[in-house]
Amino acid sequence: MIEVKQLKKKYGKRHVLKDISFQAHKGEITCLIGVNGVGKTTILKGIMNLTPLNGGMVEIDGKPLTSERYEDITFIPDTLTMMPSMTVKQSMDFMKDYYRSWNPKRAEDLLTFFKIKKEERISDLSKGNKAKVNMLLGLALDVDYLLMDEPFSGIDLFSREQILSVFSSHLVEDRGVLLTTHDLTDFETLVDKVVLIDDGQVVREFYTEEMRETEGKSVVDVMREVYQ
Amino acid sequence: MNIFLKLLAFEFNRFKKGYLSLIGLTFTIQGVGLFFQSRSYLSKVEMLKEEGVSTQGILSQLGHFDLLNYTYSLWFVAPIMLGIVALLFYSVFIWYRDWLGKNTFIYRLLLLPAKRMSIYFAKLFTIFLSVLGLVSSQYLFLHVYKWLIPLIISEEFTQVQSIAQVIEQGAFMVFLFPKTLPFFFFAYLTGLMVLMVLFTLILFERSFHLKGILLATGYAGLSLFIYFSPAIYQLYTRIIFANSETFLWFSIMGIVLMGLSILVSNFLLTKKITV
Repeated sequence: MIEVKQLKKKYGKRHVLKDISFQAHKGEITCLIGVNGVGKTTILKGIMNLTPLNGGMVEIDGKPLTSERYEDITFIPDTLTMMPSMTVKQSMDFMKDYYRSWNPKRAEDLLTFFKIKKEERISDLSKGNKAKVNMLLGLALDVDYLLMDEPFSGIDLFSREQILSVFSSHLVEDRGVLLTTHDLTDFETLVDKVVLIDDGQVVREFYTEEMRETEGKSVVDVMREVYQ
Repeated sequence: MNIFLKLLAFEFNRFKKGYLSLIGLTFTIQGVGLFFQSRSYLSKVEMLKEEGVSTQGILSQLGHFDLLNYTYSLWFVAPIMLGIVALLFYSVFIWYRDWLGKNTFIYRLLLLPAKRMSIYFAKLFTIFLSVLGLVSSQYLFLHVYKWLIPLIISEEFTQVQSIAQVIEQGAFMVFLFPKTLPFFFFAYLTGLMVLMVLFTLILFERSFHLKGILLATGYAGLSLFIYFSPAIYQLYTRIIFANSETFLWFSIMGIVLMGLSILVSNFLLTKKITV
């Protein structure tokens, strides 16, 4: 379980995160939702120590998250993190060299699934293919938890559909996924748990299935109540 | 192989083309310079010979053409300066290229399952080993030039010098090839210390941006103060240390500064860095 406790973050005098606490469990897809600029990316970066926090802590399965544990958890940012001069194969080799959790079989499966050529240079890839390679590099790691920042932002419909199908496939099952989005339209049914962020705080946290059964509301209905 | 060694090999591989070009350029410029200088010397010799000047007379006017004299020419010195400037530039570029423009590779580096100081040390030793490599290649080139000169200039107008003699008396040679082992360690560890302070300044800027520039300026001032404190102490107390004492004090201050830079860089990389 990823346990985020009382995260705080200030940019100058502005409190972006005032007191963020939530949990994301293994085997579930947890979605952090909020309007643009609410601090969703900051939360993911804060968890992975890519931005300093002003308070709070993060635990993975009851232990503090240190860089040595990046074999158990990985972050897929909204931008491809390999050098533009590298080919897809070189990127995969890089991951293989540095991560014991790299699963070459899964990487090959994903390559076929996304229909990407290994010899293509990163700089020559379309935005959609960059997003797919980004996804591939994260998903091919045998990690327990995956953090994804806006995995569908700015990509075309077909790439979006292909990435979406990953979430319902064996490539994600049994892992804990924590993702951010400002637009849940296409994948509401895939999400198990939703954490709504507003004004630097968690305003609602609920399981989508439960919400549908007990209150008869979709995630979008709850979002309207909160943000409008 | 641990992650530090893998990263070191990776960083070196990224620098390979530029580095080999730098070595090639050094050899080319110095080699071409040697050719032009020797041709110019020979044409002067020919001119004087035509005027009927004796060999002794020519030598008293022009002197010998030898490797030691050549090390003082711009053709020889300029590529060394170019190498120093290029490596200084690369010491800054080695960090910024992973952050700036379309490059977001710093994400990948910071997300590696290892201590973040592995990145720091990999970059540091890439530069340090590159310096040692350039110096070694210069040493080899000196042997090549020593072998070439008698092939171009006739025996009577040149004089045989040992490489040790050239290193002892040549321009800049004392900095590249310190004479004694303690001075060798002192010179190269001072270079390593300067590199560590520079990396710390870059990490200040990368962590705090505009405010980081101010903090980096402060750290640079503090570093200068720490390093030169033995000299400042002597200046204010008018107590003059013996050479060996001064050497010892500078060495101690250098080690203190290296330790401090490692501690501060570790803190910045693990607690303050922002991407």
